[in-house]
Amino acid sequence: MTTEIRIPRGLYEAVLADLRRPHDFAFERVGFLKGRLCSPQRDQRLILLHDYRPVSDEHYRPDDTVGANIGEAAMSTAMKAAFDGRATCDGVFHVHLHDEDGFTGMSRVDARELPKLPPGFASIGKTAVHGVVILSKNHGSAWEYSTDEKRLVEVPRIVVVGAPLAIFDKRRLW
Amino acid sequence: MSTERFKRQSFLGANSQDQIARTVIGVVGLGGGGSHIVQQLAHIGFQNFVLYDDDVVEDSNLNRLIGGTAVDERSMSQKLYVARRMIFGLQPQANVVGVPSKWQQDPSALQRCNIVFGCMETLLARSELEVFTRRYLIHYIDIGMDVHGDNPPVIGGQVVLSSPDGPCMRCVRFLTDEGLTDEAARYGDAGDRPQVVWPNGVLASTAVGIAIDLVTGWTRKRRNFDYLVYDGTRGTVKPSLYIQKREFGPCPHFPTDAIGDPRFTEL
Repeated sequence: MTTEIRIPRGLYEAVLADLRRPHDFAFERVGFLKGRLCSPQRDQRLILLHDYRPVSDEHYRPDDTVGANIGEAAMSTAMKAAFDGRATCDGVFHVHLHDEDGFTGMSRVDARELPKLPPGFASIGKTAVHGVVILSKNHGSAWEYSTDEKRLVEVPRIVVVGAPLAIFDKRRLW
Repeated sequence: MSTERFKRQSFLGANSQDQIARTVIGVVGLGGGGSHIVQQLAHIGFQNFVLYDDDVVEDSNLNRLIGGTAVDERSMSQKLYVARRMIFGLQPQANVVGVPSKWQQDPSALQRCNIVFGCMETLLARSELEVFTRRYLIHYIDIGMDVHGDNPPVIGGQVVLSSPDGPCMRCVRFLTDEGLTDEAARYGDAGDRPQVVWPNGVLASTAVGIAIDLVTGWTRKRRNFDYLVYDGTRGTVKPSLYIQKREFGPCPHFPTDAIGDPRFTEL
């Protein structure tokens, strides 16, 4: 079973624009995308990203050891989105930007911290898929949380649907 | 893939052949319009196809069915077979999923597409396919032609692009309640619609051009909708008057959260 994530270009560009806004003290911004899981078809399933929740300025906490540290209020908002998404199979995807060209993946801090998020979302939003999206200037990578394997699994393809159409394949420059 | 083969289309962009090869294309209806589209896409280098048609080649198709032969007619070949033959003749490594039914009977393969071409006869069929493509965030490009009157006859046609974050076919007034109602009232009355090869060629080429722009972005126009009108008497293709005079906001017919599988939800 392969997974493809699709995001409309308008939403994709809005996410990039928000994540690029400087913060008073945080080194980077983060946000949450809602992703709707579709029924599997012929060994493929789709996750359709359709809504973005930025983290408010006041919900960042000073922390020089990471790019962004967000507080309980921001996490509560994300957990509520996971709860509200049960009926429509909407999961929550953490998103942030590595403002560089080409393929991007998890940094050491990302690899240490991000896997802690989706299990919490999955515990209350069991009908959906939750995960992580990391964007670069012209590429992106995503991971979905596998409740069977209890780990993040990389999604092979992200498609930005719009003009132009962009396809971000796993470990490929686009 | 041979770079020599595509060197004359390298102006499309440095990574254009790679983008083209990875895009999944759906074609619904492989008659006069769809057969042109499939042929052009195979020449351009597309590798991933999902094709729908439940029809066989008949003698009356051979005035316009690209790739169709008298042998196909005698052996009652499926139009799917003709399309696959054209694709594999140019792209032996292509991945082709052929579904010999109406797309509504087995829509699963269509979900994997990034761009779907609709080459169908009725407004209702177009409307249904647009709803499906919107739900799964797929670009939809519709083509169609018709012949009106007889003194002299007039050939008309259209190419419409409906993208998930752009205006839909209702927004641009290609689909209207009046048109759908009128069509329903004439149900069973239509007879054989006149169809000829050259307008289909113009419309298919125009539609393929839109798709190439979507995939490669070579024109930098970043268009997320289009409604082009073909006048077969004058031999012109122009933007419809309706879209020329308007700015379009968010589509009211397909809200951004009306996506994915249709579901009943508890109130």
